Amino acid sequence: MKFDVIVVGGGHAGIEAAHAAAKLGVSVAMVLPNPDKIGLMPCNPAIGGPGKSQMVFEIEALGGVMGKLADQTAIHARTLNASKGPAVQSLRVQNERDGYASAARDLIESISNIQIVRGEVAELLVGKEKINGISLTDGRTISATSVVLCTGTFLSGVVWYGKQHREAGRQGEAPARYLSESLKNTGHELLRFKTGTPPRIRADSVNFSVLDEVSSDNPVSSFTGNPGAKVSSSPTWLTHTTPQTHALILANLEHSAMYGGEIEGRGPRYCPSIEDKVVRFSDKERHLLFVEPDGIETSEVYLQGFSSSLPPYLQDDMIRTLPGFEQAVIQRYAYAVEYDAIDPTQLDISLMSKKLPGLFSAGQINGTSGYEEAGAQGLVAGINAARFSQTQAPISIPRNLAYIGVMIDDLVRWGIDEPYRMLTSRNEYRLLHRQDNAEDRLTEFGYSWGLIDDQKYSVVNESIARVKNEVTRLQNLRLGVDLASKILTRTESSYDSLEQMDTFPKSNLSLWEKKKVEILIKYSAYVERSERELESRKDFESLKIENLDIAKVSGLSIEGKQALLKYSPKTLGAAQRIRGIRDSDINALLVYSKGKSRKIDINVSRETL
Amino acid sequence: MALPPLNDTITAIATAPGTGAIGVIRLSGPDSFAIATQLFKPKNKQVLRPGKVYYGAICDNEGIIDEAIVLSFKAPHSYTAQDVIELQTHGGPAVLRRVLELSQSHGARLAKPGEFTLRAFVNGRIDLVQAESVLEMVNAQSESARRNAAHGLSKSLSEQLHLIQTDITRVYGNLQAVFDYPEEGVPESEYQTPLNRALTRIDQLLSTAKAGQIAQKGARLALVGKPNAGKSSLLNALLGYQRSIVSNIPGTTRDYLEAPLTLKGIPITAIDTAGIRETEDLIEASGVTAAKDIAAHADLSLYLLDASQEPTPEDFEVIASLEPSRSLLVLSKADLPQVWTQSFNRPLYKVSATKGEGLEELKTAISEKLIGDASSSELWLSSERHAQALKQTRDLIEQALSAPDDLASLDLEEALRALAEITGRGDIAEETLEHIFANFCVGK
Repeated sequence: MKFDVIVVGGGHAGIEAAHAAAKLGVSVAMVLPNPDKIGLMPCNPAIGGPGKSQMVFEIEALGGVMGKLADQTAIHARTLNASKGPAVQSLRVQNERDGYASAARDLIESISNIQIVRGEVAELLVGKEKINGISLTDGRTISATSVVLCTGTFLSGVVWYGKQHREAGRQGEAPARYLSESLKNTGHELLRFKTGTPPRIRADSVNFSVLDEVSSDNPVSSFTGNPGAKVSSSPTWLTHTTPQTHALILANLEHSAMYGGEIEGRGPRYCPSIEDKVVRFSDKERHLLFVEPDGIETSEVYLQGFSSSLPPYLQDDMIRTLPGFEQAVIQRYAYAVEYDAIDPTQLDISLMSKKLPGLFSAGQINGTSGYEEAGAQGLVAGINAARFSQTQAPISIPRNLAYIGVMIDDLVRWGIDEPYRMLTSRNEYRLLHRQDNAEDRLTEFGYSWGLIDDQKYSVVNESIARVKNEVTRLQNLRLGVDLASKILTRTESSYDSLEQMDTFPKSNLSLWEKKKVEILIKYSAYVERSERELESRKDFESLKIENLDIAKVSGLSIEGKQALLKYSPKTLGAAQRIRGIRDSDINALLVYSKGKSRKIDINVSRETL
Repeated sequence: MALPPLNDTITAIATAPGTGAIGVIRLSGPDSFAIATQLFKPKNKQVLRPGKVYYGAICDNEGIIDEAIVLSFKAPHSYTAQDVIELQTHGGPAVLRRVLELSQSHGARLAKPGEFTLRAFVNGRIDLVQAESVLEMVNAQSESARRNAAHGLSKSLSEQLHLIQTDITRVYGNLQAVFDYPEEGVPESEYQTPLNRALTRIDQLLSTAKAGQIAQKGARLALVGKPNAGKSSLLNALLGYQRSIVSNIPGTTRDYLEAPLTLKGIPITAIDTAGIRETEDLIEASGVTAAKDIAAHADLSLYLLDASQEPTPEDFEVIASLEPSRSLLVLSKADLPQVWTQSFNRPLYKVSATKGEGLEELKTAISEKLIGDASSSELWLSSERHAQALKQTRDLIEQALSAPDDLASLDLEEALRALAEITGRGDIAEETLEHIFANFCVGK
């Protein structure tokens, strides 16, 4: 078999990678052991949340599919931080777990230039200093110009229930047993990470009537502008731990694989197990738990906040100490999983391996956690795998443009020592990278890369123009003594309150567009300040300093030299963000690189002087 | 660490620290001419044109700060190949600092070490070898400054900075915990108290900044008074050796004399001026003008009144023009009988230079005027850049206090970055996450 691009895995990274590559017109093989598991949500059945929803909007604006799948199968949607200002407002939707997977599978199957291949990878095939394809454990070989690894937690996965463990990629599924070896043989360093999931409980064993209910927003927002038909059809619920839960956990800590020291992989701080929470925050009388349905006809609920590596028989007792769960029956026990990840500093900004050209990776294999993080990387890796096979230059998303850029920059430049989850605090440009302006920032790029078609492109541009015109209109529209835009900047006023005024000539904007107008006017001063700062840094972001012989640069501090050698930043902007680098080091680099090659254009325009 | 942009307008003192006959403030960038026009009034009200030299006065809202010569260069015919203005003033650190602050208040940014050279190089004005040698020198200086930052910050200063940083991190971390975990019951803590506490600490540190700079860079001490009031004798007594030609012919000190000395650990340049008196003598007249200037721009002036000579209206007029915080009145020749009784409503330090009486008291008074009680507190911010970074931190905190939460968090992130310019501490995102996960039980 021969393809342009092979995508290994059919999870959230694999779906975006295969879809994007296929959209660019190349032939794609999606290789995975079980095609029924495409688009599975192995953790909670939800998409979005702070930092993550922004990435889903960005994927959508670039022409990816996660937002569409999420909207299409949503059963509940809320805007989090709604009262906190646009920089941190984030949409989160609950999804039908099975619905999401089948919509994803339908999508992949509907694309004619994607072929699904059932199989497990045995080895990466290496040709002349680049990848040539893969061989499968059944002996078949598939050749391709580029390969994208999206293996999730399957790389040498080990699943733990208490101190019992076995090799598995996930509950009930075989791990990728040989790929780790093959990666090591091709010069890659691997990290060992750990993560956990909470128990799943039979819905009909839960007494929902005593639980606090959280309902959907009304009206709801969506990632694509088209909320699914069933979006407001289910609530979520809250429960909490009790003193009995805590006592039970504390009395049985020695049975935990984590506390017993059996698990060597490092777990994320933001996914603490319930054991962790009880031990570390012993003064807290209760811990909140979120009860998430897996569909409208809830057959199973997901108990977010209750990850555990205690043995199953204890989990049964623990769960019954929670209000509403006195009779609960666990359908699938909580487990911890350990897996290999590629040290992402071995990747370049296009997500291609520096060790093996043509090999790309995306998602949990790069050390991240979360569907959204995986999908965003899958999109970038898929585009670049296709471009590599077409001998086109790679694309990258700069840090100052999008959350996706921040994430990839963080990963490939810093490396990580725990699974990486996106958080708004990681993004210094968060005021500019809002979910409401993802299209304004990115659709242009999605179009030029070939992921957005003409029709969608003009729809987006028309909407952007409508918003812009409305802002101009409000800046010139006098309502009584004040301009409409002036009125809108008051804390208590909103676009809605303008519309309440009899004298206000109505517009035909959508709710979403009205919201954008409101944000643009209310926050214009702050946004302009952020944009000015961004502008002032641009010169340095575009100044390439790769291939410099650091040892020859005079005037560098010792720490600066070490840091540069360790991280080999590609641009002066990247160098500037490295710990231990000082202004004087940047000056020295600039002077040296300018002296070495007068080709570097640093954009100091004399005409502005 | 914020990297400097290359096309805004920067300013810095271009002459070596300490005292010189003249001091130069340089501006480079697109707004140089506009800024110069706002702070410099040419004598004949000319418009500033490139390549010309102008004489006039540097003024703020309250009046003249100093006389100055201004040189103007239009891009690309300047050191940096940008529009450049050089303001040449009298060299005292006090004047230079005021002019520097004034140019910043009109929109210039304080330049970082080597920034003029960087621009000169980037714009092709100097070659690689020249640029590297200049930068190496700058780096050597900033390297020693950095070592000072790491080891030389006094313990109490770094403790204060740490407390400020802790308060900001706490508020920033709490805000971010609420944003990133909106549903997990993170308590929304009150943040006025810690931020105001940080502001108070910053203000305390800033109040010692001037003292710190004087302790490091030294102060200019002017000895002023009518001819033959005993200025040269007092200078000799302070120095402990003969420096000025002492005579009793009025006007012997025709130009001014400078002498370095150390008083209570403070490096001081003492300036013995020509006597202030209207005179027909041209040489003498230029000396008198210089003396008036130097008195006005010294960090501290000693005005001498001769015990044996009745004060004149000139004395009253000059004393009235002196700022009490920057001047001391000295009754010289106190070994002679005081023949007058007028009061100036200010303390009068009696000194006999010939007998050495009253010198100690005067030295103590000088030191107190210059650095106050800062010597006991140790919290000296000796670097202009540190003071600058703290001011920026303070402005950002104040901005955060009146902003909505999401914008406040951006201001506080920036404030932490400004503070890191002094403490050299690094990864704000990581330190914030540590704060969040140490204090809140969040995460699924």
